[in-house]
Amino acid sequence: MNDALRGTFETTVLATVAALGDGASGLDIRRVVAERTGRTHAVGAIYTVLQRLEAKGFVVARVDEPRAMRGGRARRLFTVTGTGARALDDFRRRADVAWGVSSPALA
Amino acid sequence: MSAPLAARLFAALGASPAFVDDVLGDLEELRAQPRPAGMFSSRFWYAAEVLCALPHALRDGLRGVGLGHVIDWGQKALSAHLLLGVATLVGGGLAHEAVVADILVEPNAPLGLLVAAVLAALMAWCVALGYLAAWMERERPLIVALATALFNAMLHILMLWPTASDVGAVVIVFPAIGALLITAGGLWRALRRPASRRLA
Repeated sequence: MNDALRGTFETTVLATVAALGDGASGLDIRRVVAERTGRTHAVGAIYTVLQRLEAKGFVVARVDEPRAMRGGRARRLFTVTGTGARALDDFRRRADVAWGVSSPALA
Repeated sequence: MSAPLAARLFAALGASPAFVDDVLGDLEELRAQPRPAGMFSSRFWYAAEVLCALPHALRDGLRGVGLGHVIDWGQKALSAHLLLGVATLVGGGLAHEAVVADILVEPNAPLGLLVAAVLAALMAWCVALGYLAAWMERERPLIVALATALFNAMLHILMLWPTASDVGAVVIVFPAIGALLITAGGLWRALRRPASRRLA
């Protein structure tokens, strides 16, 4: 299943993009992920996941204006698509089902 | 490490221009922000962040790579070996004999000036091999240099393996040093001439 959410980090990044709303920058996503998970990830790690999510159609990016403080480079701002929102819902539903199963060990 | 140098490094691994701009733009923004006292210097911090981003740049560069690319890199690694091997056939043979005779077979023999010169020549040969391999590839020169280093190391481990009981750790140490030098040669080439297709 190439178009499904893979792993905790990918899910966390997608959920963070969704929480930040329209046009989340990589730095904002990195900061919020660090606040949520207590772990600071490398800049490259965030963009690797964002590119994977973009390839799956879960997020779309639009290019901002170039900025002097970025060395003349433009920012890319990410937004969750309908497919991405459905993937998040699906992930949450499956997680709820998994945690809802009664286990003799937990009883 | 400067931003243009980091951009060349990422591009040499085949990272897309979008990835390079995203990462280096963010690092520029972060560099401008004040950091707590006692943190590393700005230059050291930047170099460390670039190093941390290297595996991700490599991963980005390897996206969409198929069997055709791998065969192509293998051909280039082999071609670089053959070209440089033929070009330095006589000198290389003498050097190999000298090293085998004086270091591997008789480890207690005095390490003369000749052997030191031969070792230096072998090291230069490895750097030249990496440079040549990277020169052959326009899009991902550093990946081809890494493939050449791996190929060279495997070749030497296989060649030295029958003598493993005599030479011990040399079976691993010599090929590993060679691989590092080949990678350094590829890095030298990649940083001198940016990868052509992907760097915007």
